[in-house]
Amino acid sequence: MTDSFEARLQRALDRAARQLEVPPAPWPGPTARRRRGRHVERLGVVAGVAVAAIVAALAVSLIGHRHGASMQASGSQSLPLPPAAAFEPNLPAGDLKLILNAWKKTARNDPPCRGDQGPRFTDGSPSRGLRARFAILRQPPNAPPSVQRLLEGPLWSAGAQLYVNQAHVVRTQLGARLYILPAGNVSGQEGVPKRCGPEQVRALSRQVTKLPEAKQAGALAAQSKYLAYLRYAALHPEGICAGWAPSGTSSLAAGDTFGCATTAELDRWGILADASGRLGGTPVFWTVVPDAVAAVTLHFAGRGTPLKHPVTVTVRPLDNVVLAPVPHGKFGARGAWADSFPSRIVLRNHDAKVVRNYAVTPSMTTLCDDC
Amino acid sequence: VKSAQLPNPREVGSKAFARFYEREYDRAVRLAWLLTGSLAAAEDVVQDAMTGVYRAFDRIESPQAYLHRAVVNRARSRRRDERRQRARAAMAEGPVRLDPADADLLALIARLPYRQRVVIVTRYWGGWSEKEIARALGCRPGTVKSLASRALDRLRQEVEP
Repeated sequence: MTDSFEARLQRALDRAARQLEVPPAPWPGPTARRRRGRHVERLGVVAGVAVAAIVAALAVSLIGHRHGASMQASGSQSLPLPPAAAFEPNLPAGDLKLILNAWKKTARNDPPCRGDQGPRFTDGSPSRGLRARFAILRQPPNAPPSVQRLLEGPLWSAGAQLYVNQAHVVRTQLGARLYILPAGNVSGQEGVPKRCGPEQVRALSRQVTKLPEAKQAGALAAQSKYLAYLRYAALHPEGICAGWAPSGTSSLAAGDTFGCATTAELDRWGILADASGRLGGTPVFWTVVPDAVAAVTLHFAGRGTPLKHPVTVTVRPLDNVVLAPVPHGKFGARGAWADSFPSRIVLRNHDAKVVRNYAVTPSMTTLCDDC
Repeated sequence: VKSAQLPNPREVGSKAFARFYEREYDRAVRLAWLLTGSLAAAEDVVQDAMTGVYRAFDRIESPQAYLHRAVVNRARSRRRDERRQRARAAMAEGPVRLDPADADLLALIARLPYRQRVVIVTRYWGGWSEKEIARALGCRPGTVKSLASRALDRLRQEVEP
């Protein structure tokens, strides 16, 4: 069993790695960063600031009138803070292992307790609540029928229950199209019968009888948090998925440019988490925001890049989408040194009141894994 | 012999590095891709790692080991939230069309804690020895053994509940 499993593991990794087409990337030579003189760096700073200013001005002037119209139609002006149970708890690995074992045993004895993922795609309609939060979803869907084929690859394990007939193409830029889809079940959790919780607790209690009392208590407390999260996820599974696909192709191209978030996550951060990446070689910050967000201010620290000074960009959403080229991203060789994620994000509502203001830190893994 | 005809040591170093880069780039990107699940992230990780190798090229004994460690460390900084990992394009990106069984297995690997993932990928794809993995992770070979054992246990439990 062991040998065959390890061989299977090896074959799967081999096949996957072999299939990856690595674009050729000749060594660019000693980096421009190392050779660039101080005056060139200063020039870079000025250019970065100028680019940021142009981007912000263009965004405001081009989309202002459309934005105003769509926002007036929206009913949601607040950004409530979701409860702690809305987010997967960060549990010690040992406890998580015990909890998952208990879940498996319970599911084996009582299959309805499995809480499996729902179907990946559906032709149904998103709830009124989801449509109320995003103006784009109140517009008629306009994506071609082939969108399902586009999404099959990237969502190979998401189980997001996407409403494929409600897909919107919201932007075509830098050779790619941005799709937004309402998702019936981002977390992949489904409701289970009420008996399942106590059954899981009993299963875990049986597992931990030989552990010291403190560890038993710790594992059971961790399970309680985990079950609370699963219950919340099953009750509030909806969210948004969004991603870029190269125009005119039949597959989505970049892993960094597709993401999903539950409405709770969107409320917590005010933006679709971890949604920056490169489009056509250009580092961009893009995200999806609910109607309540009227302006997004991004502070780029410029740490570790040729840009020594911070740059601030303010962008207004268009059709619930915020898109801004990363000001100094262009200085990095092939984006290698670009800080594509802002160090601080400030969100304002339609009264220009700050509704979220937070520094992005490495611990915010549910917001951005690259920060 | 005129001094102008002598090769410039810096140029010699650059050429040697260029050869090293040509030889190692492709495999390093594949490694980083298996660790991060994203081609764009993998390319960035390797470019950063290669820059580090370039800077230290003249003084390091084993550029390959240095590169391995740099790739593993930099890929780590691109931590993936486990649930997000399932909801993103991950390894299905671009031209890669995985067999569903492989895709499921790779999804499970992607959900492993980072050090366990490194051990699985480098051991079963990279063919690295325990010593090499330990050097890349900055831990003892014994730790690699236990990480491998825990990772395999976890994967088996998921695949064969």
